[in-house]
Amino acid sequence: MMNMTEKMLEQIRDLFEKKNIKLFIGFEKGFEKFSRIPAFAENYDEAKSMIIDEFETPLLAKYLIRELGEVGAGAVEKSERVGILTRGCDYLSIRRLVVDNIILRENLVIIGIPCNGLIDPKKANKLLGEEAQEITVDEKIVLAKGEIKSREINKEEILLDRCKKCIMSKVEESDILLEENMDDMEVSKDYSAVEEIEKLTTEERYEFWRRQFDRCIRCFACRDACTACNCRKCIFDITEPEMLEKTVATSEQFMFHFIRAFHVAGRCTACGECEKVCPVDIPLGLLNGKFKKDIELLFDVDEAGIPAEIEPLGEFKLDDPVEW
Amino acid sequence: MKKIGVFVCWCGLNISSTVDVEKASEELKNYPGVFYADDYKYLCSDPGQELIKKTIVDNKLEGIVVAACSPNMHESTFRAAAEAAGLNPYRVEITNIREQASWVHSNKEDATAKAIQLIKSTVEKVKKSEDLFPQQIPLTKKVLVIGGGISGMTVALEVAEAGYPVILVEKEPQIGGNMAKLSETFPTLDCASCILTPKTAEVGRHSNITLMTNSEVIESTGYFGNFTVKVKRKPTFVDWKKCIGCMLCQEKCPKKTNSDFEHGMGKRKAISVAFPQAIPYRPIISEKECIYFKTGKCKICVKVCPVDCIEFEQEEKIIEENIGAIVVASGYDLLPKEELGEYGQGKYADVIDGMQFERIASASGPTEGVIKRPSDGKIPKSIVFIQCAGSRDNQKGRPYCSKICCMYTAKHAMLYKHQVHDGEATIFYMDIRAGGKGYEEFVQRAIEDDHVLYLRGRVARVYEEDGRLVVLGVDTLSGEQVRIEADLVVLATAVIPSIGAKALGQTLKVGTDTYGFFNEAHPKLKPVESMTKGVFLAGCAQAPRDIPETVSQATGAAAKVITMFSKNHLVSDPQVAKVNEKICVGCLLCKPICPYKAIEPEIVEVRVGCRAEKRQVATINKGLCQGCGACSVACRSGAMNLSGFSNEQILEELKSLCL
Repeated sequence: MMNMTEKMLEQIRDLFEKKNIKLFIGFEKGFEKFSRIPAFAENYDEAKSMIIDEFETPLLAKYLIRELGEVGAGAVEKSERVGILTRGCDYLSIRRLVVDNIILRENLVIIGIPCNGLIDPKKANKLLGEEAQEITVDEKIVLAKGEIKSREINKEEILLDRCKKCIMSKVEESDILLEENMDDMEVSKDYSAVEEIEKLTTEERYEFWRRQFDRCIRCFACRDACTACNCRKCIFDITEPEMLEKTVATSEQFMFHFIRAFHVAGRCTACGECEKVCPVDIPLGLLNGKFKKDIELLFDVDEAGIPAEIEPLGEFKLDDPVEW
Repeated sequence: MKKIGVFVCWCGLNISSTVDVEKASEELKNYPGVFYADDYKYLCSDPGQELIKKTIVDNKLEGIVVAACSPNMHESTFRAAAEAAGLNPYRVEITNIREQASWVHSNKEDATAKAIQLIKSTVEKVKKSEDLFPQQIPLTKKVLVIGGGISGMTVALEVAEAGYPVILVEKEPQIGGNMAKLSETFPTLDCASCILTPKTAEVGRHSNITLMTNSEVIESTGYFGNFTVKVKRKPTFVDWKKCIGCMLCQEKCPKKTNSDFEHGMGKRKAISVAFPQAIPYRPIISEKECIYFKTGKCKICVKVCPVDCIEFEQEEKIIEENIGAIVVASGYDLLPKEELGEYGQGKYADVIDGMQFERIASASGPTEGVIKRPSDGKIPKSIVFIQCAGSRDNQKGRPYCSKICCMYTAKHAMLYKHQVHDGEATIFYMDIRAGGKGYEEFVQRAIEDDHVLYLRGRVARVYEEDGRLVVLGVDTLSGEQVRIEADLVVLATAVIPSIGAKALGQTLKVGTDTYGFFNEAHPKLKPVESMTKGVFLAGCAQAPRDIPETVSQATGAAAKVITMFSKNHLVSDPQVAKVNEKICVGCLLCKPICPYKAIEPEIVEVRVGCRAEKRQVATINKGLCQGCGACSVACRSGAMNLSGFSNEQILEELKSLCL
């Protein structure tokens, strides 16, 4: 992997030297072991700490809203563009922003990297039975070393949940590709968790979600992390009309989560960021998954959430089967 | 807090028998914001409206709620009354306590409680109401009529007579439509072309009518009063301006082919005019059949033409026109026989449909009015007519009644019996629907005077046996199976929308029903208006109907157009969508959702702090917007709002109902 990091740094230096970007967004090591955090570089020196490896990373696309400004302003000078490190899933999120007219694609320089799944250090710790001090990844085998134990683990076992459901492992429209795209990962649609909930009776289901939503502290982290949540002013921040009352009541908790889920329905790219950032572990992926499953079924689409000019829930058809 | 007045209507006993209107008005008096509340026997009556006006003026009310019937009935009445009293009409809201409370409940206590709750929620809505003002929209006083059949011609003539220019577009090379193919018409048995040709001739010569035959509408943009349409004029390969209509070319043309106008019953030449009274009386070359187009040789027409008007190199032209209103009169076709398996799927030459019978019974038809069967030209001694062939048949997907078949089948049987006195005419029917002036008498005449045999029942099968057609059916009145050997079978096939109607609907953005008939705006009160403002409907494009009804409806559509054109500008409903540019993020998710294509992006300059920023936002074309609210539902941030039904108003209503 060091190889890839070096390749990236070379490209970044090139971009800055030729004045092709004003800013590059990538990853660097975080404070905790194996954590990776967003890094912003305005010149090559600042970018030197950036790395590419196979540990879980946060989604970078959302920072583009802040860095790129209004689409109404049109395309910027070459030297004012923003570079970004992109995996397939990040690419879907960037596409979401482009399709939603939030950013202009030509204001971006995408460095694409192939990906065949990121690993979750927490899962490795669990399998190892203690906190791993060192994790080395070699193709499909991962070697985790703790203070006492050491163990070889199959990479499949410690993949991130969202990587198992990955719908886009390639970066389709990258400006610079660091390494040739690999073959598509084998992914089977897995709605078993959604189906489990569907099996419950209405009362049980209500009780399940009430338990989940009642934990919500309305920190809005799920919204802030989501690239589909790209409104200029979120409806929950508007005071007139007040869509959400300040009271902490079950009805308001439901209201918030339902509206959030409806606003991203058909547009959610299933990146899983909302669920990841939730401090109280509300299974938002389950709710989004139910929408995704239903849209695929009812609107006859293969893969709901792949950003397109016309979305399944965003089109008027004269031959709509339902009269209105 | 606004000063709001509440008026509760008794509607005689309609409301007051199930809703305690006095209790309702008493309770509303104490509701926050309500300054005045009263009940009255008939608020829509003159004294009722006077009461409303006087109360508004005396109490300086800032909004009123009228609890009465559906807003579809009297909203405009009460809004006009409020306007007369100096209150903006859009500060008047109706609570429907008749259709939605008194008429649907029997328990007075519950109905009263529901009515009170509904009125309270409307009061909350009125608290958030704003003054709205209609906008003036310019108007092009020119109408486009699509379809040159009897309905389209009627519309064109009426509007043209009123002094407005008309463009009549017809896809066939001549006008007259299906009526030009008919033999005689029920219930008077006068010949169809005798009553039609005066009309076609008048359309042809009227100075206000621009005739575009052999043409199709391919695009329509804009909005009511201001449409821009593109008409495709297909090539005729003959310069119609030079042509003098001598028809030497038709006479000498060596290529014969099946005529569409004759529905396969007769032949025509590759260069031809459909029938002798055709308007315009000009020939057209059929590119598919013409020998020159196939082989590059022949050109006999060029040689014989005395005015040198054949133009093989003619190409299609697209013409753009600005118009104010559109009338759709695209007419009908018949269900193809091929879809009717039990009646031979069109494989027997002597099983024909109603229109084919019209052609062989027509004096100007291929047999010159002598009823001969197509297979060998013999005069049939026994004809079986089968009604409801495809109509009223759920399995064929046509559960509706085609409306004209009962009458024309009786006419067919009668025409046959008048020619072949010893012939046998048998009609299989489900019911006889002869509602209309002189219709029932006509059918009785067929039965009593002309001895047509009516058998109530359906035909199971039509097949060939030893060279004769056999009709196997059941007479449900006697309960017996019937087997008839017939020389000719005539199917009254279902009336279907003309082929291409659905595509036309999509071009014009006018909805069609499951079968492809155009949807009217209201089945009873707005039968000639479509859901799209400025587009009107006439004739069989909307539903199957006969000639008298078609003419009445077409005249109605013409009246609508003339009324629209009688004003110098149009007034738009202010209850349309508006964009809050401060919030709009310009994602344009609303754009593909808008059924009326009223939303476009726009770059605006917004001041953010001390600098100006260019932003993309959505904008509404207020002429195109019909206020359906689809965009405001789709808008995540609530930047899109429907005036008169704003998010704020609806939320307040809901809060009042649910909390």
